Amino acid sequence: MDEDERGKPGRVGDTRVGESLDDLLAQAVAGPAMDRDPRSRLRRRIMELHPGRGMDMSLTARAGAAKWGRGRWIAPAAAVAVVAVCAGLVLAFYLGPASGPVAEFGRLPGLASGLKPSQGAAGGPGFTFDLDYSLSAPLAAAWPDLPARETVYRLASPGFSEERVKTLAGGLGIAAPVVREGFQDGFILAADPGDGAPALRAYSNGYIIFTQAYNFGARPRASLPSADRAVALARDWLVSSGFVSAGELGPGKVTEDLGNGTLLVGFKPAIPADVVSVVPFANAQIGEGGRIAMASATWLPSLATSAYPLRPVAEAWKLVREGKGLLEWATREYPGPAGDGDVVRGPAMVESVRVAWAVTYAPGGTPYLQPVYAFAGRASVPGADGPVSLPFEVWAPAIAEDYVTE
Amino acid sequence: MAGPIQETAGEDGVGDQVAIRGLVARALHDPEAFAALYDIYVDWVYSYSYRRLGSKAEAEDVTAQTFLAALSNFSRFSWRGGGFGAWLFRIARNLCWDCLKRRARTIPYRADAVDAAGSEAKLAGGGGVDETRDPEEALLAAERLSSLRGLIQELPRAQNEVVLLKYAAGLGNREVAAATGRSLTAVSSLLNRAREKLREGLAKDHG
Repeated sequence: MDEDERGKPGRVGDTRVGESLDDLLAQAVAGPAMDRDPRSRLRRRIMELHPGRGMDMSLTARAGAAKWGRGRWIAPAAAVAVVAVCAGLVLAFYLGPASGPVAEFGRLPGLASGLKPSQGAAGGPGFTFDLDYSLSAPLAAAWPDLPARETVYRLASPGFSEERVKTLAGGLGIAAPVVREGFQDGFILAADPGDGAPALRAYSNGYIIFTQAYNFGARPRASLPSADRAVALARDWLVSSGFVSAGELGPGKVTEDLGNGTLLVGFKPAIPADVVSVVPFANAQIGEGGRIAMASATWLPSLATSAYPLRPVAEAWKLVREGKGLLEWATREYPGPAGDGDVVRGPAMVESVRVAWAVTYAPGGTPYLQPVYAFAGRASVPGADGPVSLPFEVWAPAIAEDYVTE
Repeated sequence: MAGPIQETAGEDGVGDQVAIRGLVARALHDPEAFAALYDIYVDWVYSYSYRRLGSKAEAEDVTAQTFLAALSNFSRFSWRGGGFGAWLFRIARNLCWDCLKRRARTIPYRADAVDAAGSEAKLAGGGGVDETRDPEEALLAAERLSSLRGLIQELPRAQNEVVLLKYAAGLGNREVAAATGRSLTAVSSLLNRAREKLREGLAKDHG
């Protein structure tokens, strides 16, 4: 047995003649699970006492107190304490700089500052949408159970110093000096020998890209690494290069690009798990022999978190119905309107709603990952040969209105 | 019960490690994240406490006190102390000691026959007979587990404690070390000595 392997809990019927002492020990000392009732009561009590529970806690706490046996006095006391704390937070929020665990970052920037849908409600490449949104029967009957508050992540501001680019280039074995070039209203810091050898370019907006020579000719799938291997290679490279830190990457998603003889492995943050905005991201393009043909990222690590109250989902749905949501087609294949003019019209049925996260930027440039309601479903829109059914998502603000600057 | 959480493990535990770290990062402000940690650890804390105290009611009390203490002291938690599991079990361990001191006697494996027999049998094979197995073999297995429990009870206090933290609480050696304030070498040594004694004891009782 490995020195640091954990004791494994046993199950009835696992004992066999000749099995290891460790297995026997695990079975011998595996205790019973806690009974369901005390387990649930304790969970409720913890939720009630949690300092992040917030403004609506008093009622829950009182309800819980009646059910709690030996600790009956604690819940009402906690409710009083939490109401006092929350009142303080509300006052702090309105009278001065926000402090404490709730809404610590003050008012958050609106969604449009960070979400740039490929084809938005306000206008895609040459056309706009006028969809008639409706809810599927199950959603129309009842909204799913969604949280009353969620975590907002304050991210590191994007950008690179010359020193940092030098360090990254050095770590990748790039000997070329770092040269500053103008780019749009920012700059690029480039370490590029210019002969097809590994090169690095870091942009003032936080985007960084590594390239090296690779023959991008078409290749059969079998000549490339397996999907699992590609994800592992990409993950290792992105971490060892310093593009991201260990543990920050979520699961890798592999897209085959056999025409270029590569696999594109894309990552989003591990926490929060469901980020719908393009940023933060990290990609690596894996070629034959596991060669990293290209890697790029706009990776903004989380520096701090704070809980924020969410608006009711029905309120967000109202915004969607009014055409104030941000629309993203889950497919890029729609060629454009075949109907009247530049407006795409059609019914769009929402089949699910969840809380996801999207990056937004405060006027000073500080980025946040804040919760959004993501309504997903299918729309029927005019195509060249009649109506086509396409998947879509429409995002609406989830943070309570008082906590967002629109 | 869900498997143990690999907070300090290598490749295989990366996902869990990330998940635990993420939950811990959020748990100070987010009740749902703290509740998720509770869901992950509650049965392990209860199981450990039950094995330490031998009483279902006391194990419930200790489990409740452990999580309430963790909640009120959460802002003081630091990863430097050996991980979240180690921190939580340090609290549980101290509470168990307090409980045992109050009782002034140590009965770690009384196994509260009346209230625990059902779930015990289901989870641990503790005297329960597996209907899918040859009855004679099942009986022998149950007897062997019963002997082993007796032998664990007779271990010196320090060995008994590390065995329970490792096998009832599902901690790795590093976390056991962090939870008990011992060095990793000391924990390994205690475990090795405990295993040796238990092996000898089993051989004597069951050939």
